[in-house]
Amino acid sequence: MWAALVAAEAAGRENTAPMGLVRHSVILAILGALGGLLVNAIRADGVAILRPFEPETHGATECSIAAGPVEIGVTEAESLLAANEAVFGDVRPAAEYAEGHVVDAVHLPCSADAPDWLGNVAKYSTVILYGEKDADADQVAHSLSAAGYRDVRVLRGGFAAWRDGGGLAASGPCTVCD
Amino acid sequence: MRATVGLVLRCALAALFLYAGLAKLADVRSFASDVANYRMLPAALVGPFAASIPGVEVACGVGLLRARSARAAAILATGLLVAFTVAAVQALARDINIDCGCFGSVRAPVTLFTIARDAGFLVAALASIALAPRGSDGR
Repeated sequence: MWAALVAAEAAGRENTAPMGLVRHSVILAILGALGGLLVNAIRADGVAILRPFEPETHGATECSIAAGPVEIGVTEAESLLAANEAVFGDVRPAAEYAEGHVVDAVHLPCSADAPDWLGNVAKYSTVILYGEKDADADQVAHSLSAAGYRDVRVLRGGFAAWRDGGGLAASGPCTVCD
Repeated sequence: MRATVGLVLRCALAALFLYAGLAKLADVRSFASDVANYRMLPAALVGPFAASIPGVEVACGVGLLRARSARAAAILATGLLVAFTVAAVQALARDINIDCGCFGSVRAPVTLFTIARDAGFLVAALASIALAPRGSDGR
């Protein structure tokens, strides 16, 4: 059967010249693109193509950001960490960060400006902030939202809730902070 | 032997592109977010690009399976893989922490492995161009 398949392949003829091949490739790409656009147009959950892309956020809305930072529970935060789908920011003092923090979390100075390292984080990423108490992270959450980060959340209960919930933690100073 | 190797390569590439295209079609909004995260396109082009690329990948996969269109599809596959590799390299070079978005809902960050994998696929695509059935006139 395999031999028959190979023989049929060898018998296949493509009699196009080099420029014809490129033209054939372009036509194939155009047909595929039109097919993709058609499928997107007829499905209910397609992406808008006539206006600038607006990313979805994981539950955050402009209204909720205006009313206050969106909170996230420890369980959901753990699942995002496990899936590598969120960036964690620790707004506590550096000494407390060094004693223990969420694995891969970065220490954030509690200032109104987004730190330099966030420039490497896509503004569509989920950013989870935590402090000792919820209110500690609120100010930084607002500043990040104002800086264009679309999905900023505050870990409900802060680091204490994370630790008590058995979340993965590490210790030591922040290696990527200024 | 040459025909067998060529056929195996083409079938593998076809499966790869069909899987990648259909996986993106299944969740095109998520793919659009992945495209936007690469920060290579203006927002106005992200939607059209994200909507059309899965179709191009599926067309490429189907084309690779047909002997008459195999070389053209292999050229298209090469172009796509070059573009994907460039996107991954620039993301790594700019130290942007993003998901690859290569296979729909399968989440994986862009790493050196991503680039090495794309380079491997690229070699396979180039080999497919050389090994795909030609016309009897040798062109």
